[in-house]
Formats: sequence, structure tokens, C-alpha cells
Amino acid sequence: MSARLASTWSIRWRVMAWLFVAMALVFSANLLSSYYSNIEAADTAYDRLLLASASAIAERTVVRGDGLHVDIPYVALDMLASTAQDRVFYAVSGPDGKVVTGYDDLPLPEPSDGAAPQGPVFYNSVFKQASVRIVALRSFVSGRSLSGYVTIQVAQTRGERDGLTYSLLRQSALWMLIIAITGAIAAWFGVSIGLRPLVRLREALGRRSPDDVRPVLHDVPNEFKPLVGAINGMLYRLDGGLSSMRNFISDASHQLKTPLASLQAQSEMALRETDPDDVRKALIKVNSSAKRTSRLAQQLLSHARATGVSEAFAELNLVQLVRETIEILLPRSIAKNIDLGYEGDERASMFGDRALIGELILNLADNAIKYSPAGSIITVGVRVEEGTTRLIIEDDGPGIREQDRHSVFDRFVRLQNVPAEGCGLGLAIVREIANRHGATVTLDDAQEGGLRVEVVFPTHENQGPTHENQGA
Amino acid sequence: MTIARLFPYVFVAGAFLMSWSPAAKAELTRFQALGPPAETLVIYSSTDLDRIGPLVSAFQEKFPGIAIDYHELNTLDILQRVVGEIDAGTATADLTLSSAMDLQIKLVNDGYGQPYFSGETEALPDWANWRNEAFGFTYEPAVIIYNRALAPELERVVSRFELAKMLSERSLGMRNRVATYDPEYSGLGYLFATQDAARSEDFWYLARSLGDSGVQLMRTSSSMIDKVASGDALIAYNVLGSYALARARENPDLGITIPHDYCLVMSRIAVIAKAARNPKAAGQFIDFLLSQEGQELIAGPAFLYAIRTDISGEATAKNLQDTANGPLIPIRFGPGLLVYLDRMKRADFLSRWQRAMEGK
Repeated sequence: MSARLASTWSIRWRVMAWLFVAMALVFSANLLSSYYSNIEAADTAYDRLLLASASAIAERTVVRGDGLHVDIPYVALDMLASTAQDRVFYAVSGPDGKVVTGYDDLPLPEPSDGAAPQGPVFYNSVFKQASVRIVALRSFVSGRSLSGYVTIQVAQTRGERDGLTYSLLRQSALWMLIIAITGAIAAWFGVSIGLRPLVRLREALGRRSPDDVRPVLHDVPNEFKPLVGAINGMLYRLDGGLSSMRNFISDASHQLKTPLASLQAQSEMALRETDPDDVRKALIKVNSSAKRTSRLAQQLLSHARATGVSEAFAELNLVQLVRETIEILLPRSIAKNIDLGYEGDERASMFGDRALIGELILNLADNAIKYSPAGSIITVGVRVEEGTTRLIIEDDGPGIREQDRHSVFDRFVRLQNVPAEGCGLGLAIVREIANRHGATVTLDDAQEGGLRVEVVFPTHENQGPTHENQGA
Repeated sequence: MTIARLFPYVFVAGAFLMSWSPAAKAELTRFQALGPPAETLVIYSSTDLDRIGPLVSAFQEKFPGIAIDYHELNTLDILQRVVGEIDAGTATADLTLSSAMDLQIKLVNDGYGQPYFSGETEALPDWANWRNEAFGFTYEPAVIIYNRALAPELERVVSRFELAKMLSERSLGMRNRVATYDPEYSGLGYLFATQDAARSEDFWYLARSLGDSGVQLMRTSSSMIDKVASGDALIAYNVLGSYALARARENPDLGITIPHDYCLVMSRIAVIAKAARNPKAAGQFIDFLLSQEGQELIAGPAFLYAIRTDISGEATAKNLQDTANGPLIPIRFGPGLLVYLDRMKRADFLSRWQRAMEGK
């Protein structure tokens, strides 16, 4: 359901969604990094003040008489009276670590490796349930009674630092928001502008007359070129289909005109005969002509079907189909004293249109019977091999000369030196059907000197109709 | 643990506090609620009840459901009790009102206050609101008082320098007849003296002159006023103007001079305790203190000087600002006030003071 929904989303929303995802990622990364750099900036700015305060105390820390003496300058704490009104803590401890004055339990810095640091140490900690920034400054004092380093600590709650951090963060967030809105607006209208060539294409196609199948020559952006290519390909095939339909109609009317005219003439002659024997002879001619005409009409229709639209591809057993076809033709071969037989594998599964393949076998076998002299042997066979299924029809008839083997596949071509019984459509139909199944038809000399026709079907999995004949 | 944490505070303000209020007052006055739902607001305050009483009554008229337990404590007791009680997790005040600005600031700085926002607190001037936890509600000047009947010429002593000069010129006539706060035993006296010292090195000249004249060191403003009224002293320095004004209205012999060089102004500070059980009522009380009605009562019967400048009357910030001949210096809320609470700083200051008292 959701996949279906997603696949029908408009391009605009797709672009917006991707934009949103990308921006969300970039923005969160940016906010995170600016958060840390802002904290650093705020600390750098306010640490100086903290250090100034500690230095002011250090300056007034001296050894006097029997011990340390600290005179906290008023300004030392007053200078920390920030706008955020941060709380302030301090402590001064002697060389022995004991707090001389100030807050007793102000946290000390994490002990660093090696020697105690000479410069000030800034660190974050928690004191009196507030997060604080602390500076610890070591300062050397010396006098009669003692001599050594005192530590001055000054701490401040983070109110003003956090205030600065968040105000900087708000600023960058504001800018990112502006960028996001600008980007969204640009994407929203950019999609319309970007799709404008497609709209022009749609209008151009909409203006065409129904039979205008010229290729589309509009300039389109690169992204649409494959689409236009596919449309042109389809138009080309549609054009082919339309012209073959027209060809069929003109061929059919042309081809049927002559036999129908002779049928008419023969029947008129028969009407003029008075002698019953002559009438009967004439009627036999009429009958024979009608049969030929009927066969011609049937073959024309078969050819049209082979080039036509409808398909019923399914799995079928080629051997069984061959056997059924041989059975249909058996009476005719017996009548002509021809030995029509099967020789090959017992089973051959393939994908195809049952009726069309039947027609193909019928045409090839029928041709063999038709053009072979009485007493011939015709062998039909099926061989299943790696990746292919071969249908082979061999006869010991006269064969076809090599230079003619190409042209016999054209419609209404009959060879000069053979008795004219067929109508010239048989092999054309075979080729059409073979094409639709991705098969190849080859004509060759048989071992016994006759013709060997071989149809090679590819047998990949789920083999469907081939591209050339699709959608024609 | 509790004792250990309490220790620094005892120590910090220690010396003064131990003897400063020898008879540590701990008077509890309970104002029953005038009606339901009878919740209780606990106040620790350093302000005399006879001054703030009218405010409490007026507050209860507005909020009849609130009973008030008014503990009158000295300023250090307020700090120590709130810190001790919060650290121990026992019941403590909802609201503290104290004239010891430094101690109130320390209470907030050490995290024992809680923030409160309202239209009234927003309207306070910035200097009188620290962290939205410490709110000033009065504007009381530190003044010079003198006995008009006995020494009318002291009217001309209008600055610290002139006071010092007069003392050294008339040292015989003024001997033992001048008074000031004892900074060692009075928190407010210490605050005034240290603020003076922070402003001008001349303060020590004045201190030496006072010492030379055998100054009487007093622990309260009231006792200084008593001395001057009775003629035991002719002049007193750094007297709380609110007390002086109240007495001068009854005693025309009391002259009040607002120093022309500068006049320190202190504010009583209200802080809602972090562990307050009834912070809502505490907030309502603060709003009442800062409201027009509350400020009028502060100016009126209390004579504590209203901090709001839209209140007119004698004891108001506005009147003070209009009539003062020199700069008014409100003591700034903030960490600067912690400096003189430092134990070494305090010891230093007091030893210097002692030397000055000896004329050195």
C-alpha cells in the first residue's frame, strides 16, 4: 500500500522529501558542531575574566608574619557581576593544600600527568548543585615563615556562557532556517520549471492527429531523452504495424481478386453449359477453385494473425504438438504415398503460442508434402539441446536452390520451376511466427538431397514474446 | 555532614555574629488566617514587627486564607537557620526578609534561594533584583543625624570630609559626643563601613578622626538615635535614615542630613528559600511588598522608604532622589558583596578599624 503510494508521489514531493532528509542531516550536524564551537567561543571569552579575577586575588596573596595573608580585592568578585547574574565562588589554599579563605570544598582540577601545570587551568565542574566553570591559578609566594605555591580558584556558574552559546546557536539556527526555506521554495518552483519541457512534449503529442506516427523531434533535457527514445521506438513499431495492416488489406484484396474473378468466370461458364456432364466438369473446376481460394483466405488470415496483436503465450510440449499436426496431415501424405514420420526426443517443453506454433508446423510439413514427389520420405523431428529446442523437417524432394532460399520467405513469392499449387504465404507466415518466438528459421540441404528446414527456439526461463513483435 | 557544611558560614561571619546579637532574638508571632483554606506562610525577618506589622495585616486582608508565622531573627540567624535547615532537610522559612544585604546575597549565591518571576519583580530596577532570587523592597539612606537644639551649627556638616574636619577642629567640644555603628558587632554597620571604605580612602581619615574624638560605637540605629535625642551625643554617622525619619517626626530636635558627597542607600532583601513549603504564598507576599498598596504602606506607617519611584511621600525613593544634594549610591546587589564576608578580609578590615579607633 505504502509502496504504491510512494510510487505515485509527485516529483515535487519526492524532491521536497529528499531535500528535507538531506537538510535535516546537514542541519543537525551543523547545529551539533556549532554548539561545541560556541561553547568553546563562550569559554574563551569569559575565561579571561575569570583569570583576571584569580590574578587580582593572587596579587593580594602574600606571606605576612606567621602565615598566608589574602586580601580579596573588591573588584575581584565584583568584576564577575555579569548580566546573567552568575553565582561566584572562590578559594585560596596554601602550599599544604589547606583552604586559607573562601569556599572549603570547591572541586580541584583533575590531576594532570607529570608536573603541576604552571599556567592557569580551566575546567568544568559541579558545585552547590550548579554547573560551574573554574579557573585554578598557581602562584608562588615566599616569606620568612613559608614559601611555595598557593592555589587560587575562582568559579562562576555558566549562566552567561550558556546565554552566549545559545544566542549564537539561535543565530545559526535562524540562518539554517532561512536557507531551508529558500531551498524549499527553489525546489518547489524549480520542479515546475524543470518539468516544463515535458509539458511542451505533452502538448505537442496532444495536438497530433490519430494517424500521425512521425517520431518526436522536440529538444528535451538529457533526463527525458530515453523516454522520448522509447516513445519514438513505440511509434516506429506502431507505424510498422499499421503499414503491415495496410499491406495485408491491399495484398488480400489483390490476391483474392484473381481467384474470385476466375471463380466467377468458371461459374458463369458452368451456367452456360447445358450438357449435364459439362456442367458437372465445370462445377468440379469451380469447386477446386473455391477450395484454393478458401485456403488462400485462411492463410492470409493466419499471416495476419502471426503479425497481429493477440498473444497467448504458455508452456507447451512441442513434441506433442508435432505429433498432433502429423496426424492431421497423415491422410494427405497417404493420398500422395508419402512417408510422413516423427523421429526425435519424447518431450520438449517450451514457451509459446500454441495455435501459432501449430500453424508453423502445419505450414512447414504441408509445404514438404506439397513440393515432394510421390513416394518421398518426410521426417519431422524435435531435439532438445542446451539452451535451444530445434524443430527439424527434412524431405528428399527437389530442395530449394541456395540463391532462392532468402526470397522464399517473402510474401507471395513462388519459385518459377515448381508446380504452382501454393499461394506463396506459407514461409512468410513461418517466419513471422518464428520471429515472435525469438526463433530462427534456416533452410539447408538435407542429407538425402532434399530440403532441411530447421527452426531453433531459445528456451530460457519464462521466455516471453520477443521485443521486435511486441505491441505491434 | 551538616555541621561540616555549616562550619564555613559560622566561621565566615563568625566573629560578629557570636557577640553581635548577644540576646539572640527568636520571637515568633503567629497571625491566624482570617478564613479558609488556612495555609501557612513562614517568614524569617530581621525587621521589627512594629514596623512591618501594618503590611502583614494588609496582606492578610487581601489573602485571608494565609496564616503567617513571623519569626523575628537577627540577620545572621536567618542565614544560619535557613542553610542549616535546608541542609538537614527540615522545615524552614518560605520567605526571608533581611536588612543584611551581603548575607542575603550569600544565601542566594550559595544556592539556597529559588527564582520567582512576576509583573512586580519585572518592574523592579535591575540593580534591585539579583538572579530573580533576591528582591530589594526598600530604599533606605545612611544619614548623619545631629541634635538641633544643642548644636544647631552641625547643620553645616554635610559631608564626610567636613565631619572629619569638624571633629579635628573641635576635638575637645566633641569629645565622646559622637556616635556611629560598631562594625564589629553590627552587620549593617559593617556593611556601611566596608562600602564607605570601598568608595574612598578618605573613609580612614574619618575613622581616625572618630577614634580621636572617642566615638561611641553602637549596635543599632535606634540606640544612636536615642543618644543624639538625649544629648549624650551631638552627632551620629551612618544612621539608618528610615529609623531616623520615624523618630524625627516625633522629635523636632533631631536633624537629619543626607551627605552631599554621596549617600549610601541600602535595600532590605526578600528571598524565597529553596526548600520553601509554600513558595506560592511567599511569591504573593513579595508581590504585595512591591505592589502600589504595599509600597505605600512601606512609605507610610513603616517609614522604610518605598523603592518604587511612582510612590510619593516623605519616606520614598522619589522624595530622596528629588531632595538629595549629592549622589545616591545604592549598594549593588551581586558577588561584590561577598568580598567583605571573606574571613581574612573581615579580620583585616576590623583590625584596621581598631587601629583607626586608636587614632593610628
